[in-house]
Amino acid sequence: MTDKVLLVLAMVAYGTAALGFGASWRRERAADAGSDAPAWHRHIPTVLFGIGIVLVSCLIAQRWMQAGRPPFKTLYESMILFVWCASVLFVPMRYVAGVPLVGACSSLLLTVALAYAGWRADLEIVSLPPALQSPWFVPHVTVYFLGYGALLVAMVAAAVHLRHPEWRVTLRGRGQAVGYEELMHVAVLVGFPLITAGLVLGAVWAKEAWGDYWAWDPKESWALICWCVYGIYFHVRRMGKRGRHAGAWLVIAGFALVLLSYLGMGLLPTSEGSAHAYQ
Amino acid sequence: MSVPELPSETEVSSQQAGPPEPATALASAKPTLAAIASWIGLGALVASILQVLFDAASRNVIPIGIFVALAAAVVVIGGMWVRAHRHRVLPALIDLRFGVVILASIALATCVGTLVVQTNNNELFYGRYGSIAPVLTWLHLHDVFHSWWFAWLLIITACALLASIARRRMWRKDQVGFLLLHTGLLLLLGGGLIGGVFGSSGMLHLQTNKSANYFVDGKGKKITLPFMVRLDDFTVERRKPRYRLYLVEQRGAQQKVLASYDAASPSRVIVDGYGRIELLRLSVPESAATPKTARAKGLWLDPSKGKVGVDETTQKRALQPAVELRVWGPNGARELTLGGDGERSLALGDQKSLLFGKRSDDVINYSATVAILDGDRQVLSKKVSVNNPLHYGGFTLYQANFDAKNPSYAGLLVVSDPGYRFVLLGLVGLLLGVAHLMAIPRRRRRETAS
Repeated sequence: MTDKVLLVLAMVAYGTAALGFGASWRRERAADAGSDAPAWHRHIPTVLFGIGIVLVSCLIAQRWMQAGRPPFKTLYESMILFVWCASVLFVPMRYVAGVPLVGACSSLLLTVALAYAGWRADLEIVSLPPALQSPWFVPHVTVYFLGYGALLVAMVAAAVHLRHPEWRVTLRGRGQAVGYEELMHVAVLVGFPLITAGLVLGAVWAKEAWGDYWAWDPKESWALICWCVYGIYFHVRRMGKRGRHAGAWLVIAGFALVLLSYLGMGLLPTSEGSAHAYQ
Repeated sequence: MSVPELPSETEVSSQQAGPPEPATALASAKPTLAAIASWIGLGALVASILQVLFDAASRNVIPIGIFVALAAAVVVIGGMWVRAHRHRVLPALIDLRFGVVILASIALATCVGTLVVQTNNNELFYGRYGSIAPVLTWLHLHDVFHSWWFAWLLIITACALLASIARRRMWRKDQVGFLLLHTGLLLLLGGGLIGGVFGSSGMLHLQTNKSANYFVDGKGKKITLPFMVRLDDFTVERRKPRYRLYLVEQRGAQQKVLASYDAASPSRVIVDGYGRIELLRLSVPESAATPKTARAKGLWLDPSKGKVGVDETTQKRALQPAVELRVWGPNGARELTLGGDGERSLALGDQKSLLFGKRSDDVINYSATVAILDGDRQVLSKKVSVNNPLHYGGFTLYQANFDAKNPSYAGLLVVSDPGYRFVLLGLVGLLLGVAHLMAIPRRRRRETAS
């Protein structure tokens, strides 16, 4: 199966999963109001989401074999990896907390991400330049994108919290109900260590490849800016209820900055001399 | 849904913390967010003015004595101010709001450093920013990350980290994550400072079979190495050339590639709304197929043409690879060749054309075989390549430069960074600290549930 076919099928799977999660969420709201909610409505979107993960996994595996290298170099390849990472991180959250609303929003965003990847598809498979032929390449990129995936989920939970702070979800096995702010915090607690690990791995790799662990390259600088914003979030969240509310806004702003650091580097006047300008 | 809510992190922390933190005793003395921001801003302004004066003194515009006197006055007045306001300054350093302001300041400064072109080339900078360039230069926005005001931000960050570690009892068991994280950051800043003050780096340019025992740093200063470095060999490892057909569109002075086709895939039909073009075959002369072989054999490697001899025509054509195409137009099909000794492009109309070319990403690695000599004795020999540096005598040698026209040249980057081990330790602390922080809420939730 060609890349394009796999990509379109994955988009269909995520798109229908988004619709399914949306329907599931509406049914759950109705169930809260007293009407019955059949069990199947929870499983269908999960299965569709799972199919999406399998298709994206196939896409990555196929590309890896075609290119003869880890397919994480170009914008197209990294976008596919981002979708995979965000999906994989959503699975445990779906299992523990249900969260069909977060599932609907995340699936929709992942569909958009796949469409964007398709629009920016590579004209040809490029080779890795010498600097990227390193054992640090795969862990550095993977850890970063896993972090981005967790922060995407956190951003969606933050948006739900800001719109409906009273909404709660019941955790499987514990019977506890927690707010979306708590879910957002858990997702940030997963994402922040991962982007920190990405930063650390990148610094160690840069020292080995370029002789300097930190060179104030635009990409490095924006990775630091994102890290600082999530650092501010942790400080602000400890400032009581108002801090928690502000924290949700910071999580949304943080993810916007993550997107800027990922996709918007070409807009910066300083990007010309960037050592990260591989795309 | 009526369900009990989990206690907030601050509530849980206050339940478990036992005695109140020392900072709370001075809560009334805590400055406001605006006061913290204005202190940091004022300090940055003073640092910026001092740097302007230092630059002026180093260019002999003002006597160095004036700069020294002013700097001493700033230090004394600053010290007196801190002493007079210590009941407000010290609690402020460990306040969460201080952390917020300092992180926001660093983020903002870093952002500015990526929005304004960072260069010490005045001509370039003034050419780009025109009339506002003097203001930007005065504020050192042309070199944010080496400005004194940015250094001020890092210094007070270090002070805040130190104060937090000392005053918030971070050595307690439940504070291990915070301790590791904050100590890691402190080590990072300390390691960076040590590297900046005592470290050095620069280029060592070598030709094959030549040796040198010095390198030249960024300021043009010659730094002597305690050993001799000899370049024994330099190789550029390349992939077998890969040829492509590119469908390009002319947009003003630039060409945009719309599609790319593998020229080595025969019988490939390309249909893109510009007629039907069939790729018949790619012919690559032996000399082009093996890039390191400079001598051309003058042969077509196409047995279907039966050309195995060497004549003047084939010898001329054989120097360049070529691709044969069949193009269908209104008058039927015709065959043509791109490359060889003819045209490399085919105009398709509507500003679009088909180009034949070689891919540029053919380099696998650059490797310099380097020997370290102690006197006349060779103590080490290693192939230095990208991602594979050589460490010896407190210095690290990196493969950093090459010259396509001079294959016997290698540019080695020589780095000495005595602060790196602290940085490495800091990075590990940072990572462990953050990972530990992630585990805390889970533990608290478990404890709350039990």
